[in-house]
Amino acid sequence: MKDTQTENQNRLSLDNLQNGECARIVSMDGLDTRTANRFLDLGLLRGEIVTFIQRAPLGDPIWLEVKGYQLAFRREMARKIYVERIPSCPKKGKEAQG
Amino acid sequence: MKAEIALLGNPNCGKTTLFNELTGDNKTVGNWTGVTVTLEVGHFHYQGQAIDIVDLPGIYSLLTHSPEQITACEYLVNYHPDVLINIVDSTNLERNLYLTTQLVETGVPVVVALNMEDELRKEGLSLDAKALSDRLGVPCVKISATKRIGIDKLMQTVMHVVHKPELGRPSRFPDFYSAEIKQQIDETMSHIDHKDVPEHLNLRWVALQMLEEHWQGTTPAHLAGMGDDWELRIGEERYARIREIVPQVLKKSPFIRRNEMTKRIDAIVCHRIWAFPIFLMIMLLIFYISFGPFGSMINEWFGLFFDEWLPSATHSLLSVLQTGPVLESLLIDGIIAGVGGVLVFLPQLMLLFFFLSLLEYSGYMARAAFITDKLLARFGLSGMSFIPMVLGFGCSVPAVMACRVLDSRRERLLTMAIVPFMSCSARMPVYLLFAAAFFASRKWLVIGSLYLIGILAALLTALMLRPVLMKGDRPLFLMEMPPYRKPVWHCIWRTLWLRTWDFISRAGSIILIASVVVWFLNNFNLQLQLTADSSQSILSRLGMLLAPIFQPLGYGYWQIAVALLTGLMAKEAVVSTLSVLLAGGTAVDIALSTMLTPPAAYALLVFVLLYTPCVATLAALRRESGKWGFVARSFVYQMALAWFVSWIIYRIGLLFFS
Repeated sequence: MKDTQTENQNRLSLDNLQNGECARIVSMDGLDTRTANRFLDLGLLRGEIVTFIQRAPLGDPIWLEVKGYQLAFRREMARKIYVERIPSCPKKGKEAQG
Repeated sequence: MKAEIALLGNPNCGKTTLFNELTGDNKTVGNWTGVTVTLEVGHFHYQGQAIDIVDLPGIYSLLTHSPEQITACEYLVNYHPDVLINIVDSTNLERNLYLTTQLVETGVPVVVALNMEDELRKEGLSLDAKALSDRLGVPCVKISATKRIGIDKLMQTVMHVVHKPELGRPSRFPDFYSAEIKQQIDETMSHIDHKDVPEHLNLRWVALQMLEEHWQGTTPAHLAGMGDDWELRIGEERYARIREIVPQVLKKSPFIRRNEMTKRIDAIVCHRIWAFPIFLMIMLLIFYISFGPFGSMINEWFGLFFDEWLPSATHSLLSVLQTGPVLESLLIDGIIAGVGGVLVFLPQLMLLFFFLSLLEYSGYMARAAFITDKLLARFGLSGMSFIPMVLGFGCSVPAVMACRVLDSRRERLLTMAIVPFMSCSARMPVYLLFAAAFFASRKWLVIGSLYLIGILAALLTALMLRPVLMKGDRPLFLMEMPPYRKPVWHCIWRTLWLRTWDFISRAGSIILIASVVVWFLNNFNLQLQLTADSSQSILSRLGMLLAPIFQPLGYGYWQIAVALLTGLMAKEAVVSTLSVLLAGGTAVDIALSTMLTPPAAYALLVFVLLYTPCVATLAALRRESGKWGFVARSFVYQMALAWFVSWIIYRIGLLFFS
């Protein structure tokens, strides 16, 4: 919740990342509760670091790496997840404390 | 006394492999009151102890976000397994432990099976089971279900816990949460009436589930109006705790990168340009190998056996025994012609089944779903529907069952309504018979067009039913992309064998009975006397009643009406029935070519393609949808569509042929 106030319009949504880029999730508030809860089950939550693998050949869905495994979902959901790029992809798993 | 063990874990964690390893083929399907779907139960003995093992569906958490998660929760609340085996994919530890942290709170004794630990070691990592066990407060055992390593150790541990349940429970409630959440748990607990909670459950877990609003749909009064982000906050704290635990139990990085091989394959098969050509090539190759020259060659050897060798051997044997013409007719014209007419296609079907399970096990099916999602989205489906649809080419029954991979009930119903139109392999014998009789030179064009009409019927049906079934809901495509795995041959062999055996046992039961019944009805008249003139038989009378329905479609013959009727038991029976009915000295295909015009033959094939696959599919639809109404509507729709499309095609065909 507190992220919504501090972030400005300049936010980057997940679907705008390039292949191989890493980013930290800063807000998932745009998602409806049902979808957000499904993502929680799958380990996709605020503070998590994701690597963008690729888009499908037709541009949708998108494919990411999160918590060391691979997950694909549609762009319409990725548009509602805001991220900040991080310069280098992590090798260790301790960084994601938010 | 029997011990009851339940298997629980994330999808793709190796749960089914372990289940099969433990039980062999000794399993039944059980109904559990209070649990909405049927569950598979395996039976086996370990050290003289009889054990029932319940295979719960693959889930990501105990919160009730999906039908599977509801099922698992219902089972845990209403039943009391002696031990819960939680299978964890060691290569995907962080996410898998999320479910584990919930399970250890429930109060049900837990043993954690750390599966695929050997794959972890290939990446240069090692997992400390003892350290993890200390942190979770329950026993953890490393296993490899596919390589059959550690399963004995796992069962020993499970037996210890059966005899001493406290070994499988943390000595105190896991300390995952902040002071604020703990205070909320205490507060919520004070509002719970103990009598409402089954004894085997931990009250603190019940309080947690309530906080997360998932305790049987009720919200405690004191939480009303307090916002609904408890679930998210509790989840975040669980994950935070897991992030602390993982580096302590995994030596070296917990980030398992997609391995190089998987990356390289994906760079090609999910390539912007090459993905679709490769996908089509794979599909065509599978059908070409199964039904092209190679498959046909094996098919001909089998055909020789059933059409010539076996009947003549039976004939010689029976003449020696002097059993008389009735028994000979029953055996040769009834059973061998009927059952043999179906078994002939076994080798080709085994090839098809083999390739489909190879696609499933290797991980390519997930990629296919990924690349086709956008196309299917136009029809209100998602890439996840792709898997049941492809399996539908094999057999409609497993295809209907595979609809479980879909996210919501509505999506499942929509996909279940369309998979019967995917041309299953049992329809192939009918196509091949008619193609040989009418379209020898354009055999592949005809069969290919039927597959296309089936796909089209499925997609257009989805488009039409979407507003009714989805009610504005859009499918949620959320799909795990597993790493490519080398095929584990004994797993593929088991799947192949189960599906093949299913086909053989149908030939030996439903088809056998159908053949005998058809033979009887065809050789006896209404006075139950043997008659040589089949137009006097009981069957012809029955067929004559039905034949007018098919008159406008160009095939209003009683033999065909009867064949289509028996085809409801299994589509292959259309062939076996025609074989029995037309086995009057000439070959079936020649007999057919004198009866029908090519447009009528093609219209008939379209009818065979679209009408209800078989009673087994209807039963599967009933089981998976839970509603007879859905089954009845599907049946009526399939019949009406088959008749209507067949009629249109016959009329169009007439324009070209007359």
